[in-house]
Amino acid sequence: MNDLILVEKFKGGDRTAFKELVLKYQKEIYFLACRMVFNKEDAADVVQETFVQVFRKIHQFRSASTFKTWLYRVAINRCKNFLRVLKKNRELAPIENYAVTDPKDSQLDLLLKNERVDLIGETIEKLPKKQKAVLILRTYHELSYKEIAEIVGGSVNSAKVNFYHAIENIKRLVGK
Amino acid sequence: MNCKTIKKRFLTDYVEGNLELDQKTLVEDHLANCLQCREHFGEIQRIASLLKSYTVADPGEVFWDGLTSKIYSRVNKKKPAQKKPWEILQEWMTWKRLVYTATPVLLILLLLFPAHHFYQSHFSELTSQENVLTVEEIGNEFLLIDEYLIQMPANQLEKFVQKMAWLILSPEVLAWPEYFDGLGLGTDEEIFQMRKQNLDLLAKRLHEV
Repeated sequence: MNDLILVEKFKGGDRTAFKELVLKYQKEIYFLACRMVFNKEDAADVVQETFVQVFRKIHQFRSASTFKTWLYRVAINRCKNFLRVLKKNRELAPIENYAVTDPKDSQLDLLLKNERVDLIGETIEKLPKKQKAVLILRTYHELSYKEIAEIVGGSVNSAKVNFYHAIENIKRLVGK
Repeated sequence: MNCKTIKKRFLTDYVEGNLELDQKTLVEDHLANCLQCREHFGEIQRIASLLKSYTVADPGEVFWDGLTSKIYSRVNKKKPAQKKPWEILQEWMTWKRLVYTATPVLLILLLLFPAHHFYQSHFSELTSQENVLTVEEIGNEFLLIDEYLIQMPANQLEKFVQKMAWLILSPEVLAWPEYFDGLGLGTDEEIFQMRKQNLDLLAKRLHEV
C-alpha cells in the first residue's frame, strides 16, 4: 500500500498502518544505522528510537516530502544524536589529524586484493558526520541527491560536494 | 573546462552515469586529454567499487521479528514522565537560539537605558518638587513670600493684598512655626518672632500704601 495512505490511516488512529510501515522500512533503517554508528547492537537501538519517534511525531509529517525521506531524516538525526553521546565517552580522532597523502595505486590494489572490506567500514566511521551520511545514502541506499539534500539539509550541490569530499577523504585514509 | 570543475562538479556524477549526453561528452573529451584527471577518475572508480564491497550481513528473520516486537512494545508503553521545565529549557537553549533571543532583549535594554536616563534628568526632579515638599521647603517659601511682599512696589502690593491678604495675615498662618523646624534658623519662638517682625513690617508698608 502507498506510504501516504498508510500515514493518513495511522494519523487517523489505525495502528496496523504503523505496523506496516515498520515492516516495510525497518531493514533499510537498520542497514543505514549499521553503517552510520558502526555497531550492530547500537544500530538496533537507533532503529527502535527512530520508529518510536515516528510514532510520536507523525502529526509533524506534512507530506511536503515523501514519508521515506522524512523517515530517513529522523533516522539520520537519531544516529547523529547517538554519535554525539558516544563521542563524549570516547573521543574519535578527527579526520583533520590524518596526514594528507595521495594513495598509491598499489596500496589500493592491495586493499582490493586482500578484500579488506572491514577497513572500509572503519574508514567511513572516521568521516565527518555529514559526509558520512551523504556517502551512505548515495552509495548504499541509492537515493538521489535531491532526496539526500532533503534528508541532511542544504542544497543538491552541497550534497554533491559532500559526496565528492567523502570520496576524497576515503582515498586519503585508505592510502595512509 | 578546467580540472577542478571536472573533479568537483562532474566526476562523481560521471562515475555513477548521471550526466546528460552533452556533459558526458565534455567530461570524456577532458579525460582523453588530461592524464591527471584520468588517473583521478580511475581512483574514484576503484573507491566506488571498494565501497560497494562493504556489505552488512542480513541478521535473519529471528532478529527482524525481535526488532519489530521491541518497537511495538516501546510504542505501546505509556509516554515517559513529563519533562521538568528546566529540562525543556536546557534542551531548547542552544547557542544559536540563545543569540537569537538575547539580541532583541539587549537591543531593547540599550534603547530603554537612554530613555530612562533622559526621563530621570528631565522629569524626576520636577516630579519630586511637585509631590514631595519638605517642611524645610515650606518654611523657606513662607520666608521668601514675606521678603518678596516687603519689597513689592506699592501699587502691586495693594492689588495683591486685596486678593491674598486673608491668607498671609491670617492668625492661623502666623501660628505655624512648626513649618520652620529644621531650618536651623533658631528655636520655634525665635522663628515665630522673626516671622511676626516681617509681617509687622508688611503691615507698616500696607499702612503707608
